[in-house]
Amino acid sequence: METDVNSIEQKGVAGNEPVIEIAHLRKAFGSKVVLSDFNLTIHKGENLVVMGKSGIGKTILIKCIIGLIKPDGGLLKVFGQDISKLNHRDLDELRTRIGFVFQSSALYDSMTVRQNLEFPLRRHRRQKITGTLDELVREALRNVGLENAIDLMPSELSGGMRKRIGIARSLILRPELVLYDEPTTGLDPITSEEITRLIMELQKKYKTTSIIITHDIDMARETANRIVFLMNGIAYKQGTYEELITDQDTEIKHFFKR
Amino acid sequence: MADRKGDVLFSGSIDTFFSEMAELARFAGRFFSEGIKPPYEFKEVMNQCYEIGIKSFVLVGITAFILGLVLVMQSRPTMMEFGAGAYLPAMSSISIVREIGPLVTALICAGKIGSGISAELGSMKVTEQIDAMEVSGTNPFKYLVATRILATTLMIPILTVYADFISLIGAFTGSNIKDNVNVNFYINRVFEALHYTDVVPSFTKTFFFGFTIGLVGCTKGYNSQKGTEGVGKAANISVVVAMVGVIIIDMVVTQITSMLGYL
Repeated sequence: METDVNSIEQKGVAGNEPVIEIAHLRKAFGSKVVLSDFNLTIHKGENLVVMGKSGIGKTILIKCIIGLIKPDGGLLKVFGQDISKLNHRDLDELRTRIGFVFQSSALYDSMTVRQNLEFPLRRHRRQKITGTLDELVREALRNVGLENAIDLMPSELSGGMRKRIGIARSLILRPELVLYDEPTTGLDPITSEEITRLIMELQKKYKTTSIIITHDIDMARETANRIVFLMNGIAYKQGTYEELITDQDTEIKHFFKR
Repeated sequence: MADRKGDVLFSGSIDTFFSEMAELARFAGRFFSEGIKPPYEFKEVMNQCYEIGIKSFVLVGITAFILGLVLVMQSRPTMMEFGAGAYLPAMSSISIVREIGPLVTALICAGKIGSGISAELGSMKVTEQIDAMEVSGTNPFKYLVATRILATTLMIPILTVYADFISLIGAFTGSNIKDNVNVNFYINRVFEALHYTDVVPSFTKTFFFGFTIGLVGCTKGYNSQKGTEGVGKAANISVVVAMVGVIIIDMVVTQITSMLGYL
């Protein structure tokens, strides 16, 4: 299994610099071990899909990556910086290079769509981002096809619209790395397909590296350069969609319903 | 068996009490360590002052007016019986300024504002909005907690002064229901009766009331767990804890004032 992991990691976007390096990552909640010895490297420009059963630790993994959850042990480097050694200020600075799309969209209820998008811009506008706040917000909304929703409150939006606004907000600071936590969960198949297409378009436009957590096999097939199957706290299997779909391992076969 | 069960319950309650106190102390410490460091969230503090203070003016005003009115109407028969009707303005103003105004304002705000803050932060927590704020590179403690604690600490004293004023108008109205009291006479008697030893301690304690209401509401909301059920519980507990806290502070301040010879 280890051999599989190492050999696969050399493929895909070989030659590109690593964006995330994870070695022997451990995280437990009381007696429940979520990540036991997780190892993974993600390279620039890669679209990595993380799959696995519910409650297996996929969200915990990306929350560790962005520093929302502190791992119990192991090494976790993002853009070459060890997350565990960063102070608050440096971590905030690093986070401006990372976008995070929440499963629940996590739009600020008390703010309009415009204010939701302006919020990160007002605080962390990077030099490479030019234009007025209004222009940037409108461009972000145009990207997700929701320019007309600019003055609506989150409570007035449908589930699909909330996801789109969540994606727009996470991309407004032009992050180099985007973490998607189940972006199509709870959506109908047509909206899921639209969201998948939108993510692909935005990845191409902004040339981001992505980690997408999903149970949506269609989405995984469309978006993944590589799929990691998380089980028992480790990267149980990795490969392209075609490699995993033909894998003879019982767990993998069962997951892909073959 | 019964003893063992009793022991467990008793110890559990004490554990919970001390852990709650420790959490409040930790939040208070964090407020002083992080809240005073730049960048400052002036705009959000102003926004919260508006939400917390200005939007409470009507409720506090109506309650204060009625309390002043009722105080005089209920005290009048007894005062008249002792031939002390002329002391009604002095008695009502001292009661209002020293105790009724600050305490009633704080209790109303503990219910309205404390529960509101707790429910708002609690729902933000369970819908991952606080996490979203953190991943966008904003310190949610500074933006959400420090601003609210500062706003309550600033606005409760202002609301109290306003409540005192409205309550005195209510007391004047109450005096005029059965007697014909001249407004100038009433104002003169009020100012003759009030000394700085009445005003300063009662005004000072309102800052502590405000701080307590904000601190408790924020701590409970920010730490709420177990989904929407937890949000409801957090709002409920924050009201109870804030009200008890306000009354304890009131008692302590009264004791200190008494020891200093101001009573």
